[in-house]
Amino acid sequence: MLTDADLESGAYAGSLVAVGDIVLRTVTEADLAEGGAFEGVEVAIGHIVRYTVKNYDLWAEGDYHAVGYEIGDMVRIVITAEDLAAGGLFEGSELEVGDVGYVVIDASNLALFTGFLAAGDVIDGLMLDADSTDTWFQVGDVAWVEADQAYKQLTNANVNTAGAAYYQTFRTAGTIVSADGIHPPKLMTAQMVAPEGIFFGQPGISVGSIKFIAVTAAHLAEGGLFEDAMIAKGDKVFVTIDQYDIEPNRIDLLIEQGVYREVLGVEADNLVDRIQFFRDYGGFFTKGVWGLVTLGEIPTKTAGGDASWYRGWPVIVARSLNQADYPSWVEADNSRSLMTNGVIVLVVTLIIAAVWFMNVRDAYRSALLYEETGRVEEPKKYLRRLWDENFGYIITLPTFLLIAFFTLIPFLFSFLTGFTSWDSNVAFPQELFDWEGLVSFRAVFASGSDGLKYFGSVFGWTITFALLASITCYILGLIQALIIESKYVAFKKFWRTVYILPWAIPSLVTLLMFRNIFSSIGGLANQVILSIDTAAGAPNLIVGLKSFLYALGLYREQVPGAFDASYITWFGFLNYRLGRVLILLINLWIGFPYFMLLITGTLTSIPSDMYEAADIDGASSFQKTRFITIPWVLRATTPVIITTLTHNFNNFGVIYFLTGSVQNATYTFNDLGEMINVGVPNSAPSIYDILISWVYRLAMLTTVREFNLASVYSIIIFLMVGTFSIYNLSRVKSFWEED
Amino acid sequence: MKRFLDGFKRHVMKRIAAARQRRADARVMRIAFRRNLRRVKVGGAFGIFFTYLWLVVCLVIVIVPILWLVTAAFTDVNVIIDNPDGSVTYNLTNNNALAEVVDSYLGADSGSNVYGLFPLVPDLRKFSFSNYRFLFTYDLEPRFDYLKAFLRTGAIAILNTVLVVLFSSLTGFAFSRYKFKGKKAALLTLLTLQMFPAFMGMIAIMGIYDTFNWTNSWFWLTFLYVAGAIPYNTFIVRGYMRNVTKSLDEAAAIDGATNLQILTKIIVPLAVPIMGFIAVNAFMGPWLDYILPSIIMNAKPTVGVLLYQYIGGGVSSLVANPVVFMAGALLIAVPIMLVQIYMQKYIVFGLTTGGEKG
Repeated sequence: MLTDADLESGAYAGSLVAVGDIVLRTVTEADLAEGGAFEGVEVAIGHIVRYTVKNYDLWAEGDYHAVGYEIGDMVRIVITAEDLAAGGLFEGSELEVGDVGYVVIDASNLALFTGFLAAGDVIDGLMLDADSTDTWFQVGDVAWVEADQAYKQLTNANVNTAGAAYYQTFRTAGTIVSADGIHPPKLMTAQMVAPEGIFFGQPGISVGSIKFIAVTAAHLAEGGLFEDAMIAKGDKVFVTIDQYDIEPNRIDLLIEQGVYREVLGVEADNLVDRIQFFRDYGGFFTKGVWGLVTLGEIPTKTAGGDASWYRGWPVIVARSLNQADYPSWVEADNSRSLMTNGVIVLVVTLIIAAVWFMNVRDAYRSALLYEETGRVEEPKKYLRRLWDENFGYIITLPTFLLIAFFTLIPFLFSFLTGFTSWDSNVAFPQELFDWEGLVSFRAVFASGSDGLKYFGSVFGWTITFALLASITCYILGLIQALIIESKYVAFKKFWRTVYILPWAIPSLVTLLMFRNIFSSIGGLANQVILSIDTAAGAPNLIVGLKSFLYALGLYREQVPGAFDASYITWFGFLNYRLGRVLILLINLWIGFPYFMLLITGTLTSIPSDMYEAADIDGASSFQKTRFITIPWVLRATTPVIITTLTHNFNNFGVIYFLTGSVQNATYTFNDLGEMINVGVPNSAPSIYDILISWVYRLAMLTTVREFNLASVYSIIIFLMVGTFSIYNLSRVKSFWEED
Repeated sequence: MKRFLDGFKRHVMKRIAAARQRRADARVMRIAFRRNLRRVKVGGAFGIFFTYLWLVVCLVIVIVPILWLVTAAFTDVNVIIDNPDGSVTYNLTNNNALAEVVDSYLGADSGSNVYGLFPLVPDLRKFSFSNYRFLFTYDLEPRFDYLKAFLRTGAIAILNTVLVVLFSSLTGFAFSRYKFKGKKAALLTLLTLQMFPAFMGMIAIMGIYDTFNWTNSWFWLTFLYVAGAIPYNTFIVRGYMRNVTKSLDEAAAIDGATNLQILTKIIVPLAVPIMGFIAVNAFMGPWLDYILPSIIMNAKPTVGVLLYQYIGGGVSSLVANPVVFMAGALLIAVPIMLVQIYMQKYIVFGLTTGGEKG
């Protein structure tokens, strides 16, 4: 029998039990009393019995909180080849790899059961229990790899290479495959289960294990677990446990009796106060308003990390089929859904209010009409009049509804996110976020804060990029249009068609193609330069190119004297000026045809009598271009220039598809205010980011997820761009003319 | 029947006359061109030379990347291997694919000096359709079914076109013709709602689509495109409609036409050019769009999302083959390109009309 000494400092120190484990337990008086674990069972105080650990036994108030394995406990394991080998737990048994086996803990094997996830455990996967006859092994499956003598995730080398162990072989039992068809099963490594790892401290992987209980009278009674089963009280049976295997009615009973308070530490007196009326009994609208105001009150876990209870029920994440007995308000709150529904409720309510108002007004008018003339309008005439008078409204109605639902509601949601606390600290959906007001705004704009410095430098580059991108594309487009239109050029249509190609091909394709061309290793640009050098025998071209770029201030990866024949990093951190210039050039390549087309079209609309007048006055063709063509074109395309400026301010695609995958270009400021490379993707912007791609990084990268910050910057972008556009539009008088 | 034949004959005569006119115009242009050329003096000759030099240089800069794209799409990078027993192996991950293409492009492993001297001439011996074969036959994962994705995206494009043309024409017409309360406010709202970065709304859209179970449904995805396209197109239609005189409406109204009849019989035929412009844009939009479908359509991707998988974007990081991406993208890009080139006239028309008067 185990002694205290063994548990404190011996080989069994630190092991903990898990749900479903069967432990040896000495029966006490409390166990036999009403509500105790062995109520009604034919055991006596002092007996040592087998008891199955349940879910709530492990919680802070439970009997088995932080209790270790002991000799005599029984644990369920999935058999591996190790267990069947010599010296393993199941050496010589008739079981096979992948079978479920039960191990009774004794002195020799206790060390194996630490109770937490261990390296080598597999999660997110399904173990095949039979050989497959139609599916080959895939990359990502977890199977036994001879070379490593371990279960590993299969790679290309094992699966797709001819002659490899799993090349075109049908899957065998014991293979662990993807449970959802998308994500490969996850193999725990020692790192993940170490104290700093992501799965540290998560017990309960043995859901699905079998529990071994003694049948009681309650089990056999109506509504009990074994109603109508052909067993008798006192038999010992196996029952499959599921995570919520608690008898809810017992809890209510226990609360009334006051036992609950003692057993699980919840204040029974406060139960009434804890009822959230609108949450529990409100319909879509009332609950929506409540949700919008409070953003959820009942989380899955309390602040201390313990499971939370609400009105005597354990709070669950989502009701599954075998929990149909649970009332709907036992589900934990999900702040995102609550905010979404709240916004929907807000908008729908406004629409309904508008309709109601029109209704009332119409009734008022009809009543007036009746008072004056003693008659009421006939329905047919009424409808016809309604149709004719409000035809404008009616045909805009579908558009209006579409915009309200698919544009306005997401807009409101994102707008409001800036005022919440939803950032990377909130482990959505387990935790809730709440209204915070202007905290995020203050964090961004606090003087001397990092947020302000980032904002300053990113904003500076955004404005520079917008201006330069628009101007260069416009100028080149103008030049091309003028040249092609000149009377010396033949085959105008051919030139125009060819020059349209960069714009005609969808930008996603061309941008990714350029990213490949300018990638460091194996990119076309580097390869061409290097191959020319190889053919010539000396690295003249690349060294010359590097010194040229260095002289221009664009290249900083190497310094003069150290230029060698290694490839140029076009989109790196040190060469960021080179990368930025490259972005502008690529944008120029893609964007100039648009302006060329536009200006060509505008050129045809210039009245020719102006040119004739100029000819009479003896103007040269250069003068004609400078004083007639260019001013006319400029004035005619001003709205387009403004639109393009706005578009380039928010030109997400160019920046993201060219440099978004450059992970190590994020930067931060050191004490001197200089930019230094950070490397790890986090909430810092990359050196190539404009405002909008930074917002994307903040919101979409799974490692970052600073939604409220992203929303704050979106609001800033929105205010800037919106004001600029409205200001410009208001100056275009014809826009507001009521014709 | 007779009316039909008459109409047909008239139509044919019109076409013949137009062709005749075009030929006459071309002849006039050729004569004028030759006359101009003959009047060129020495100084002007330099001008012509430099002009053509510039044009040729620009041509090279424009063509070379595109040529590379086309070459990569048709280069065999062992992505699909025929086994001797008749089955095929798919080699999904090939991070060296790009380098192999470049090598082929540069003739690196051809061993011949000739290719080494002309590094930008593709090695035609490596030409193959294998990438396309891979795209259309890979079916080990239902997510990667190219044909289905193609059809799905096509359905989205068609529905998008119909709805966008319908809604923006109606709305643009209403804004240009009818005075009603809140018109200015509505215009401003339409304009400003567009300014908010679209993907911030993605999170909300994720939530909404989850709640209503609309994920992976191409039908509901289309509404997002439509909602996004309506404001801009409404402005274009509005700008165009303002050039259509109101007196037509009034004349029809005097003759007793109802609102609906004015709309369908007078306005719509006049608005066909601008509706054509909107239709072309709306049709081409969804094909290679990546960000929006990547959030909603994970199990049933559109073509853009599917192709992006091949560059390691998206869910499965087990797949990385940029060459397959280029092949697939080229397949989509070619029709889009042809449409753009062919519709040049309409595009310029739409841009100038919509752009000039706001």
